[in-house]
Amino acid sequence: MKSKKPTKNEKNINSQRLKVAIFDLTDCEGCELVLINLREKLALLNEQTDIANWRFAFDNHNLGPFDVSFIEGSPTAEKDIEITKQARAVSKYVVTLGSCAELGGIQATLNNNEWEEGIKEVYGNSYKTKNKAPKPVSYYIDVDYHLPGCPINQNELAQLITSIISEKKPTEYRSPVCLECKARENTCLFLEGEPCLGPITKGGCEAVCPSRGLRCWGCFGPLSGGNHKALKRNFEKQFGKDKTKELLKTFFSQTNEFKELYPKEK
Amino acid sequence: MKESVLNHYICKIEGHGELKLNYKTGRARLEIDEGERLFEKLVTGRDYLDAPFITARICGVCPTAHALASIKAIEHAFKVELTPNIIALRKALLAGQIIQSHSLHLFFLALPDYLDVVNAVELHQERPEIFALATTVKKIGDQLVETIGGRAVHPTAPTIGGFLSVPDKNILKKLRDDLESHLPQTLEAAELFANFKYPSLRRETEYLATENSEHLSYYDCEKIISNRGLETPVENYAYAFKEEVRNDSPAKYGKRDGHGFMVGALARLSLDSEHLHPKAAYAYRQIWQKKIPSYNSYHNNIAQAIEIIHLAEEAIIQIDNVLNDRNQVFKVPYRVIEGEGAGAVEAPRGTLYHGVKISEEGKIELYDIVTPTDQNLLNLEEDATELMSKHKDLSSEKLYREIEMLIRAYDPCITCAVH
Repeated sequence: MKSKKPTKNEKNINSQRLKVAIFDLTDCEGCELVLINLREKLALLNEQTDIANWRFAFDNHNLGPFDVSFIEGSPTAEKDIEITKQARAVSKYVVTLGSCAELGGIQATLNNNEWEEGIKEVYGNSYKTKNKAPKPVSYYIDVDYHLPGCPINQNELAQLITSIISEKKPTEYRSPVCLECKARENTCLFLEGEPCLGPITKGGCEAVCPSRGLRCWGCFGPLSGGNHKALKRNFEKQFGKDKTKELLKTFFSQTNEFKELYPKEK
Repeated sequence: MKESVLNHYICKIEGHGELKLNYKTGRARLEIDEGERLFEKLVTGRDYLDAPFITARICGVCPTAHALASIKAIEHAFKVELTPNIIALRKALLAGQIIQSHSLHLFFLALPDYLDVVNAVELHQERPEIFALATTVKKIGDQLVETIGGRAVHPTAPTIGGFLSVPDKNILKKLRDDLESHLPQTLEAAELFANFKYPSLRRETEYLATENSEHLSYYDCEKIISNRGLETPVENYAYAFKEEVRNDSPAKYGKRDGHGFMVGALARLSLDSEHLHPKAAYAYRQIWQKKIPSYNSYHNNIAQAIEIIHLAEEAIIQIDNVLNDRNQVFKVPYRVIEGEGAGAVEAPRGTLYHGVKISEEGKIELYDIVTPTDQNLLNLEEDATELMSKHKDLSSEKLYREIEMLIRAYDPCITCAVH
């Protein structure tokens, strides 16, 4: 295997350039795609920062230390957990990329028992796994910042990187999806009787789903300070208890907000 | 400090794999190391409407293909009759999905192997004209999916019975004209990939793809065919091949008559090169000038490049169909009924199958997903083993590198394989 040769760009390297790593665990790799979809701007990003380890699109020979490590995906495979811990050990900041890393993702809706049951259903009885039910990254290590979403939003990504480069604390989006949705003059899906989670979900997504007629599924995570209880009551009246729980669980299953709403859930 | 895991896996492929060459047995193995997410289990018990949204999350590279296969399976169960304008728009969307994925693979993952750079972004400095070509072709796919599907990664607009919303006619018209103006770049891309020197390999294998009543088809997948005489309705996919479980691998392995087989761009081109659109046909006959089937899996790269042209032309045709259709309603009504359904599309990496059983109340009782990479894995290992036996003269480092290039040429999606 060849080692990384210095590019022209690196010859006049600015020693202040932020050294960045991007790691992916068990997930769909869609948030990394959002990065690659920056296209021309990806080259710009690579000039302003030094992307030193990125298995998916670059190479992974540089083992750190890093100024910032982005982690995408939910620790599930044995090595996912090791990568998570090692990344923490060699990084000044750890930022989660997307809802799998921040919230455990859709796959974390299965609890340990359901997950083990599912392994048998999908692979049969003689298959043994070394892996563990998917969890958020923060289950294993301390995380400095989160970039929410399934997938992440490009503007939020740019803002976060700018904040870190300029040594400012990144600001978290503090309004619900509804604010951006109203600004786009969309028809309110919640009022139309759709089980839209916009009122209790953190925005920053530019209301990309409701703008095309799809109800909010809550992928940016619960809005802190949102009236989750009221929405739950409203949903239960409209859609019944089981359906409501299923709706809230999809992206929120590992959050404190969900645990407060369903204290008996394991 | 113990050995680092931060450089553990093969770079520039989708998902986590490790190449293991056993010189004693002469066998090559791609070890799959991805956590099980259990999507079949995740959707079981849920409302049918949730399936396309959730199963799209199997893969960030081909979410639109998963969403469409899921939608097709459910529509099959409900016996939904779609109108031509909906089908045309879906065909344009699927074309965009494949262009997105192929251009990601060709330029960002495979190209560095052939230009001796570590990553594609280096080209921005060293070969700016190639980097510009990469971003232009990628953008064609991204724009199609973003405009029609609602978002470049994880679509928002497609649903059972049609679309939740569609772009205005003038936006579609602009999308179409943009596409047309960028066709020359898709030809340039094919020229670039046709002129690379691919490692030599020839191992006859079985190619599988789907077709409608007349020719190979990406969306109207009616029957599964192969170069060894297989011909069976798509609904019978579970009988067309076996999905083998290995006790030490979270991926499954497609097998027919005890052997691997291949799906994807090279399989499709090998099975039907007669119905390419004009510019793609020109690229195949005049630019590449190779005889197909070549049975060299490295040629999957050039087959993908030819497909990009074909699908850009296809998207233009389908958008024209949409624009010329008097019917501008993009959602048909349907009834939720108890039933079973199978849906297939030609995804970027090959035929993707979703199967579903739905209760009277619209709850999913059973769900099945068979991905293209699952179908390709055994064939990939057979090719790699062939390379080991043919290239005993190569240093282990060179051999390893050549097999790594083979793996990348297959464009495996390990997150799809383990879903």
